Amino acid sequence: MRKIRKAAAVFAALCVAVSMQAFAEGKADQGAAKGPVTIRFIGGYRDYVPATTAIAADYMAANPNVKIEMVDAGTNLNEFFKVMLAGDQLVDIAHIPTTLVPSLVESKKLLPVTKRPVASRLLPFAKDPVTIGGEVYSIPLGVGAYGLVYNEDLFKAAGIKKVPVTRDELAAAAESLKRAGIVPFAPMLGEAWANGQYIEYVLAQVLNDNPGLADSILSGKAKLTDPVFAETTAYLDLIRKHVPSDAMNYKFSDGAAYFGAGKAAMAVHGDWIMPPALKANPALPARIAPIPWSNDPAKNKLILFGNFGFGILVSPATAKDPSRIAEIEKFFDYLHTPENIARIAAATGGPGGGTLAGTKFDKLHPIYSQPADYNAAGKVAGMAQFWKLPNAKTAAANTYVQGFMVGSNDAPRILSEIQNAIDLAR
Amino acid sequence: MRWLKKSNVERVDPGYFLFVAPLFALFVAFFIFPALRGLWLSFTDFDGIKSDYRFVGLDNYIRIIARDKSYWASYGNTIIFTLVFTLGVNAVALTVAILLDRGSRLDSVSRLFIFLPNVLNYVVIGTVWFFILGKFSTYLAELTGWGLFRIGWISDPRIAIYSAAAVAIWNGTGWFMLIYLAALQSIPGDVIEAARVDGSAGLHTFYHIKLPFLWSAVSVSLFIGITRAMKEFGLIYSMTGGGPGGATQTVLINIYDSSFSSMRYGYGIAKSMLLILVLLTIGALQMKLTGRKEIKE
Repeated sequence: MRKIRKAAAVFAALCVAVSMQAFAEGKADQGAAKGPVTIRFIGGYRDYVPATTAIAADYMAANPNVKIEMVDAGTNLNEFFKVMLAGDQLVDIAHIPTTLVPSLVESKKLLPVTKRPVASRLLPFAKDPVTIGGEVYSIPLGVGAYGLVYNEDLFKAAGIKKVPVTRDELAAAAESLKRAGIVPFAPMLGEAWANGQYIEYVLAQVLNDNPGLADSILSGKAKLTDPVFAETTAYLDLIRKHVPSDAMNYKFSDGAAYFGAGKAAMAVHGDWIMPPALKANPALPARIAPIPWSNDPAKNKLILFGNFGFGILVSPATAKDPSRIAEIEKFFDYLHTPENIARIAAATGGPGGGTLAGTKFDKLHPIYSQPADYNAAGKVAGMAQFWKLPNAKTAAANTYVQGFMVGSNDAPRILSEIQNAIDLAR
Repeated sequence: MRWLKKSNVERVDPGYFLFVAPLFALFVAFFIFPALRGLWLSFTDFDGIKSDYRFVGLDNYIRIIARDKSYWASYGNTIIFTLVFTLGVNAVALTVAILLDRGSRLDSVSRLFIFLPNVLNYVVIGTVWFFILGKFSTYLAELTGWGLFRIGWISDPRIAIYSAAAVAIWNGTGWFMLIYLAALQSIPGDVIEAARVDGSAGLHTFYHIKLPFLWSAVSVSLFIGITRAMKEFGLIYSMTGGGPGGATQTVLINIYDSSFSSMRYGYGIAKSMLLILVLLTIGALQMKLTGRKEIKE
């Protein structure tokens, strides 16, 4: 028994000694503010990482006093953020999910980047959703376009000479395709989020066209069941009639591949449908146009928005030593030079560069250059008004649009249930 | 409070507390503290990120009880799933256990194959069955023309929840089979032998001799089945995502959507607290009902 007690005492003493040493080392690190600066960096979402890692390596080579530690955030950035926040482990620079920006700003965990040179090059649709109180909080690196993605060859095969610009023309085009034995819309109803987007991007356009409407919904003065929204579900009905009956069996990537393989002529979706579609056919003759959801062509816009962008977070190290911010901002500026944004765009195979939305991309699929044309023609709109509404709207949209598509509820219920979700969250 | 009497406390060896302390500390740190913290957050408007969340009193609970129809609707799906799964998995597992209790050489191989689905990850199972009941079924319908494959196993809102329950039964049978098999093999041989000498055989032996010995296993299996079904998330979520149109949205998926999709942690935790109350009530009722049937030793 005495031996056991002695061994336990030695073990406890060792534990205390190791802990004290670790604590002392930690203190030593924190005290070395004037030494080399270590910047912890989440180099982006999925395919951004190789490019941002290379950029970080170049920066370290040119700046020996800076060490950039790449942090792997896995595939779910939202979840990773919650883990970092729970453990007080925020990094210095990260890809910031747009939906988290307001809460991070409110918690004073995200610093404004309004004065960074790159912020002045942002187009409004990329800047607005990440602007709070006049300050920009992240720099979207990619531009997403949501609209009617169509196959030019299949349109020609069905004798469709003009891309539909109204809902009636869309209905006529769908009928022509059916008569020609071509599936009008690609099936991709298996994932609720892909369903929800059918209505979200149309609601966004109604909110854009009616200034103050989003604020009125937030204050309870207006409802999604008001007549101004009545037209939004009519085109959902049109899609429902023209997707294959087994559309629920197809997840987003399955539907994208279906469209890529030329089995369907249209897909109402974002240009992020292209990577899986191009895998099926690298020479896919796809183009994008505004969703013809309304019979008034002026209302139909191509929705553009900045994808997740990089932002500067208040890490525990920065909270203790704010002088680090200057070094972090230097790297942030380097990360966002036009050359480096182009490097990221080239590496990801996507459009890249919220700052370069007016650019034509010679080496990328032509669909990525179309937003520039629509932007020049004033046929684009953003999502900032829609994102004012609480997140709960999205989960409701996902569920009830999917229910509508499989016939388990009617069109008016979609809007009333989204409104319920907003009311519960207000 | 008799156990607190001084004479009782004095009898406990101080070493007892020394040995219990580490486990108790872990229990407090990883169960009691998070549970109490969760309870506190259920009275706030915490969104998972902002640190200056507000105390909103009973607001979350009032909203859920008075206005959140989708939450209460999700109980309907959960009840259907729980009933179908619990009854189905117990019926199948008991049948399989009886068949495997005959001492055949093939028993161990059969046990292995029946237990195998139980070791698979729920997400893997959900994804594979989404494919089998979805696109693969459509393909088979085209190939064979059979009406069976034209049924919208996961796309028909009236059927999807039963499909999910059927997959859960397939997945869980092995585990429940082991419980029943252990119970069958623990029945004293002399009792069976005595019954046989008295002329009992077949179903008569099962109902009048074996089943009374099995009530304890049935009680445990029903309890495990109910709690497992009520806790089921990964399989249904990866298979249907709660769809189509909320037809397979169980309470847990509803809570997940509130907390993670809608970013309303306080509200989602309040829903969890109400679910705990419901589960405790069901558990107590079930124990009371089935406990009577158990054989008292």
